[in-house]
Amino acid sequence: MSFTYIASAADWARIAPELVLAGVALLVLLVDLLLPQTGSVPRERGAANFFVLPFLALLGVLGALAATIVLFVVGDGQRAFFGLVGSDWGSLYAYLAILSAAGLGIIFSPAYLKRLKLVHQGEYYALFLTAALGMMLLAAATSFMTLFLGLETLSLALYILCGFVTRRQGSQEAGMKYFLLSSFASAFLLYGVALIYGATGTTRFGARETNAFPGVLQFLQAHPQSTALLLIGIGLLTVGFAFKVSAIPFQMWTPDVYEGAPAPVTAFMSVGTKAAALVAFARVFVVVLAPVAADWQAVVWALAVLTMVGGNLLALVQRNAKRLLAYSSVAHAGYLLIGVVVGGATGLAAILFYLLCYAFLNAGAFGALSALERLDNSGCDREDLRGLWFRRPWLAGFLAFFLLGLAGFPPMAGFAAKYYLFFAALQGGHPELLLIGVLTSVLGMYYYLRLIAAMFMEPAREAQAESLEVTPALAVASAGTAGAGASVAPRVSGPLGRAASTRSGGAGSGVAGAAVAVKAAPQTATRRAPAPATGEQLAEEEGLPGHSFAWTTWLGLGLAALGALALGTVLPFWLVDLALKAAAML
Amino acid sequence: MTTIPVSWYLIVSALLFTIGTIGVLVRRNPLIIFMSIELMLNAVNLAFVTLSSYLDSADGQVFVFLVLTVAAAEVVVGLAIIVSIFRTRRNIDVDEMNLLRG
Repeated sequence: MSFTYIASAADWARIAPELVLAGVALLVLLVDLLLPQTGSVPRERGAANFFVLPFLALLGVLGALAATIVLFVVGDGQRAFFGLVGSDWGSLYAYLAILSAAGLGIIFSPAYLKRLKLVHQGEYYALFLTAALGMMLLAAATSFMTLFLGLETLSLALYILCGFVTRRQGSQEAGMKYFLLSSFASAFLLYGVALIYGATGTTRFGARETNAFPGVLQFLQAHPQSTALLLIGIGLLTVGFAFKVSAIPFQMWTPDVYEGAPAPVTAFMSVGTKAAALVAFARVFVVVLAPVAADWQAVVWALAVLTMVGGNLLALVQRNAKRLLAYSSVAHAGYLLIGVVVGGATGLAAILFYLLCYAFLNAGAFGALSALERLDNSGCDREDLRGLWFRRPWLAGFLAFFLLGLAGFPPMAGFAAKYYLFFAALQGGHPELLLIGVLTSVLGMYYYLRLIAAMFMEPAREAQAESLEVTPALAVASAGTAGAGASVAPRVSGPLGRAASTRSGGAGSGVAGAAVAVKAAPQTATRRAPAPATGEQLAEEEGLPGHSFAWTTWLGLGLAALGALALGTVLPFWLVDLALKAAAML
Repeated sequence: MTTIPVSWYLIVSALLFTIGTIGVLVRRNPLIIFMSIELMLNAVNLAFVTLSSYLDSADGQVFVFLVLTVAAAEVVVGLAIIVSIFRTRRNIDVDEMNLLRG
């Protein structure tokens, strides 16, 4: 066996979006080292870090997005590096969803990091971009090698990001659980790949339209009878993939990780991982393993039904909004698996379009929660969300908007996405999946609407509301410095002040807020007497001094809402057409 | 000298994989769980090398290099997470990790 290494410039051009992301990820690390120190503030806490680094990372995402669009227009859609990476429209379409989620996640980050005093930002954004890079590789993989490489790139980056809030035990726990369970699943997937390699003699997928780089597909077309080795391999592969897309019964990690991870990371990973893994799942099963479809179709059918029913039922009993959204994302994985069962161009196109819609809705919902989450991971229970409309109407409005979209109400993207998916199920000859999908969606509306009802209709409990709304000011008051009070005032009275403090309350002006604080101080202070550390802890929760970057949260929420609305009203016809063409090229 | 048939290698690989799987499911110390996962990955490597030699194709061997590299990277990240947890809790038993549930 002798080998020569030949890679043409055209090959590199076909993976331009990945190259842009990789370059910017390294650049972010470098710039993090070079940022100047201002005054006595430690360098990594300087205001520049909170602006320059996310801006740079966002530029990277936008650059990758631009490269993707350029490839859509002028790319030849051929595979790069001897059939290892695809640059077809299907991969590019998945890039759109992944990059949208990454961009939104980055926009949500500065305010969150500032509020929780997370200062190691160079790593944070570099890992963010690396994870996006891994997702894109996974979605574009046309060989089991690239698939594995992409999967591990995204996983390794996300393990660290999940455990990024090192002072919060829940975050560490999320990182650990994700790490152990995900590597366990990777081992299964890998063993499946090894056995399929043994059965077919290649790790390449092989393209549908050309025989230039023959792979598993060509072998299976020539030998459609399945051997024991191949069957065991497909089984193990299914387990690995089902874990990655969090299909029931392999979903146990999802709620824990989504709850423990920092909210902007959850916003990104819940969408990105799902999009990448599902596109890879669809490509491997619907396209590559198509000749032996009879062997796996029943298993994936059962997974889809279990996931739809189980995800929605488990979401019903959740009290924490982040866990509820995690189970709802499990349920959405179930809907998406319909597309895999149905297969064909319609099924694949429905998956691609659904993922794009889901990116905006889910990232938006978690982004809204990121403005509520506190350092100790509280703040997202249903009790905390009660009466949110009266305290922070804009935030409640946005959250309700995204929840309604996820539930599938018409003006938002969720409806169009579900419509095309169920339409594909009917057209593909699976009316039972359509029926189960619609019924479980109705079930799903219950928990979304109950959360919305809690925000809009139930007043917050008196005692809780008082302590919640007064404490930031109280912490300042107990510190006994009038100057500190003055520094709070402009923040509360500013137009974006509602996002600046975790619970700014209905205080119209900083002066009124301070007055309330003084009035309530004796009563609350006695109640909190046994815990002298409370004041300090709360002061810490106020975040680092200086600009709060709350406007970034609003920017992200606005963009996500705009995207969700556009996908639901103006764009679906055009985008579904594009998805149909893309699916034919997968 | 008689050559060992391919199936024997694959059986050893399957045995290693099973031992690793049982280790992950039974043991409670994340370090041991992690070692069991490494065992599973090495079972995969053995299968790849065997099949690569049997099929006379280089794909399997290239894959082994990928798996080795990724496993090394996983060790770094995994041990870092475990150390960070040990620093705050002084205990890394996975049964104690039950803050997140419901």
